[in-house]
Order: sequence, then C-alpha cells, then structure tokens
Amino acid sequence: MKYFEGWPVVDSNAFIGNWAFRRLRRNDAAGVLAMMDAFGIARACVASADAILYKDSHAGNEKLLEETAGHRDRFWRYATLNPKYAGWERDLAWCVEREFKALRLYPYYHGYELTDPDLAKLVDAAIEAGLPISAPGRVVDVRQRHWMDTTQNLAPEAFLGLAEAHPKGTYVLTESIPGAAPESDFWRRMRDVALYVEMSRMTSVLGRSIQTMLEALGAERVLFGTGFPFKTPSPAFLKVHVLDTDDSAKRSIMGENARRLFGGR
Amino acid sequence: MLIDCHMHVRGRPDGSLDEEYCDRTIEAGDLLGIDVFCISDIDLTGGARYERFHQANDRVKQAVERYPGRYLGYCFVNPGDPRALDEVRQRVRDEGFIGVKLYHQYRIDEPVQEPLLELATAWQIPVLMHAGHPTDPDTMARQPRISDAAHFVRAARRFPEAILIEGHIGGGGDWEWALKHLREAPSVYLDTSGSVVDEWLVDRCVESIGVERLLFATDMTMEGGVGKVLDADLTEAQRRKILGESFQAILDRRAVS
Repeated sequence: MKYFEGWPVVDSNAFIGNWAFRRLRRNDAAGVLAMMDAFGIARACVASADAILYKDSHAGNEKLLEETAGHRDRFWRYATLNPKYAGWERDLAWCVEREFKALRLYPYYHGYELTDPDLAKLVDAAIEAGLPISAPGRVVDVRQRHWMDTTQNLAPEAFLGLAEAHPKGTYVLTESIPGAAPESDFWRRMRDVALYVEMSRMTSVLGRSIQTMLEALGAERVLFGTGFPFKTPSPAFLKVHVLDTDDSAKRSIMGENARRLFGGR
Repeated sequence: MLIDCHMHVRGRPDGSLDEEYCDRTIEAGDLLGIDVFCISDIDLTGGARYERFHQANDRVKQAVERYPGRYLGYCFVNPGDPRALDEVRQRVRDEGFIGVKLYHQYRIDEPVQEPLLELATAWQIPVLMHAGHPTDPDTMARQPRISDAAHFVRAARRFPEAILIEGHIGGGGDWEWALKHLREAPSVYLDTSGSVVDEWLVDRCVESIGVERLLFATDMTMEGGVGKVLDADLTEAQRRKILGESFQAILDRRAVS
C-alpha cells in the first residue's frame, strides 16, 4: 500500500532486532526492507531494538551494522549508547567511523536522568562528532508494560531541557506527543533550539496535534516515522495523507527534512 | 460499509453538545472512509449519577439527529443507579438507541449488571463495555473496577446469549493476556479500537478469536484505528467483516419489544 507513490519517503523511526517483552515479526533487515518496499519507503533510520535492554548497548550497534551492511542505500543507523556504561567514548568513535547517523538515548531504560553529568559528556561528544541526538518518548505504552518494564515516559519538556542545556546540538524526539497550545511558552522554547519531532503518535484529525505543531514550529521540523516493527505503518501514513496542508509541507515531513538531517553526514 | 462500533461525542462545560467535535468526527470519517459511528457520551462528573448520564444520552440523541445515518447511539448508564434500566428501555425502545455502553463503575460479571444483561439478551442489543488489563500502577489505581477479559468470560458463561463487546483491545491493557482468555468465551466480541497500534495486533486477534468476533472501532484514534486494520494480513472478505459486516449483523439481530 503506497500512500506517496514516487516520493522519496524516509522513515525516521524504525527498529531492527528483538524485544524481550513481546514477540515482534518482520524485525530483521529483510523484514523491515519488505515493509519499506510494500509502503514505498526509500530509506529508514533504524535503531537496534536489542540495544535498549542489553547491558552493553553497543553490542546492539554491532549487530545492527552486521544486519544492515549490505543495504547502505536503504538504511541509516542510530547509535544506541548508555552514558552510564563503560567505554562509551570508544564505542561512539566506532559508530562515527562507520557512519552511524545519530545518537539514540533511552534514559529510563539505562537508568539516568537527563541532567546527569555523564549524559552531558556523551551529548557534548555527539555534538562534537556532528551527530544529532535522539530519544523516544516511550518504547511501549506503559499501560501494557511487562512487569519488568519501565513505568516511565520521557516528557517532551525534559528533552527540550536537554537541548537547551546543549544548544549547539541537533535533536530528534520520537514517539512523543508535544501537546502544548500553539501560543505557549513550550513552542517558543522549541523554536529556539534545533529540535525535530517525529509525528507517529500525533494526529491530523479531531485533536489536530500535527497542525498545532506545524503552526507553532513549521513543517521543516517535523519528521515522518512509523515505529515499525513495534507499530504498524499505515496509521502514520494516514496522518500525513489526510493532513490539510500543501504538498510542499508534506514533502518536507515525508523525507526532505530527514535527508537534510541524516543524509549529509 | 465501514462502521466504527466504538466512538464518542462529548459535552461542553454548560452541558450542551459539543457540536464542533461532533462535526470534526464526521469530517474525519469522510477523510478516512468511515460511514457510520456508533457513539456514546460518558459523563463521569459527580460519579455518573442519573442526571448526568441522562443528560449525556440527550447529547447522543442530538448528535444522531444532527447526522442521521452517520451516528447511531448507545445508551450509557451506571448500572448501580436504580433508574438505569428504565433509561435503557426508554432510549432503546422509544428513541432508537442501538445498545448499551458501560464504563468501569462495576465489572461486567458483578451481580448489579444482571438486570441489564437480562434485558440486553432479551432484546438482542449489544453491550459495549470499556475494558482492559492495564499493567501499570497508575492506570490500575485510577480504574480499580475495570473489566478485563476474564470478567467477560465469566459474564458470558452466565449470559451466553448476550451480545457482549469487550472494548478497545488497543486501549492500553495487556492485549496478549486478553486474547488468551477470550478464546474461552465464544460469544464475546472484541473491538479493535484504542491508541495502541502494535504491529501484528489485529492479526493476533483474528488468530485467537476468529474474524467473526472482531469489530472495527476507533474510540477516537482515527487514523490508527483505520490503519491497523488495513495493515493486517487478511483477505478482503475478512477485512470487510471486521470493518462493518459483522457489526451490521449484530444490529440486524435486534428484537426490541
């Protein structure tokens, strides 16, 4: 089902790998590629699902590189690192050398707050290396969490605070719903930093949170993402498909912004 | 025809129907191809007293009159209120409401539900109930009497001819847990709504309970509600059943007297 036939669509929020708490399907490189072909996605920015729960997240990065090595033209990779774990400096350098495109953080799985001094060092190192810094608002809906899973979500305001504390960086917030009113101080602060928002949890109808974000932040800061293979792709596609804006804005969301963000590195 | 069997309208602070929301829902339906919305209004102000749910049902009636053919109404009641049964009788028999909507004032298998379930069975009208098996402490604390699939299994054994619909499998509980239980209750239906759009969710529902018992719904998650059914590995005949044919068959069973 190709919603934007012929457009160079980029999925900025995909995963490869296993999740300990629920069986996923189509979660290897072949499965994600098959989904991309079916939905007309030219490229996907993939993070390692394994890396979220591995003690040594970098082992997930290594596995991700192995899986995607033969498909450099289809995948961009997130480097998942834990600033509280040994040796992240060397692991970050390893990822940069192998052209991982952005850093991925999971504060509530890796046991730190966004004000942690160790995180500050990792963020500064990522900025120095030219990597955007990304984090999801959540990995799963906590209402259906496994009993050993986290109960916490990452608040948009907390991630915004991280961006404000390191204003030279570029940031990507996935799996989140920044729900503030258009005229609120939240959006003014968002405009003052380079923070992109992936839209798969937002909506174009009823609550119209995507329109609020477009009004407050502009289409150039919004990224299309599916959340596959945790989530099914059509909901995100439909949100842009029925969005009451022009094709120029839709093209920005569906791929141009992500290419500008990840493609140049 | 796409029939959303679990959707809502709402009131303004002054108690009147929020017509703008009502209109936006229809606009969203037009964009996404949803022909009919089966709606309720759940006003929990003051503990779901009679005056509140009666007024909420008035708003549903107004919405149905505003969009005849696009909206069908459920009658929401608190089954613990002594006037609940009369409210259902009036709304269904005299005003064309299609069934009953229950929230989490009581669980579906509690004795207080029995008069309602007896009436719903006799009239063969659907009983749609907010449900889930939340596993996080906050949700559990907020909804201590939420019904889960195990409660539905028990209610279905007591009322095997009742048309019970467990609401929103994607509504934020452990859906895998729910599907394990629902295999034991062949008369219970399940709706697909809720904000959870997990890959494989709809397919797993069909594998567990069969396509005949799975009903399309959004519960306000509009693009997600449509999208997750579109993405499931189904034949077009199966998809049509989920998207509307099975619920139409439920509506056709009504024998209100």
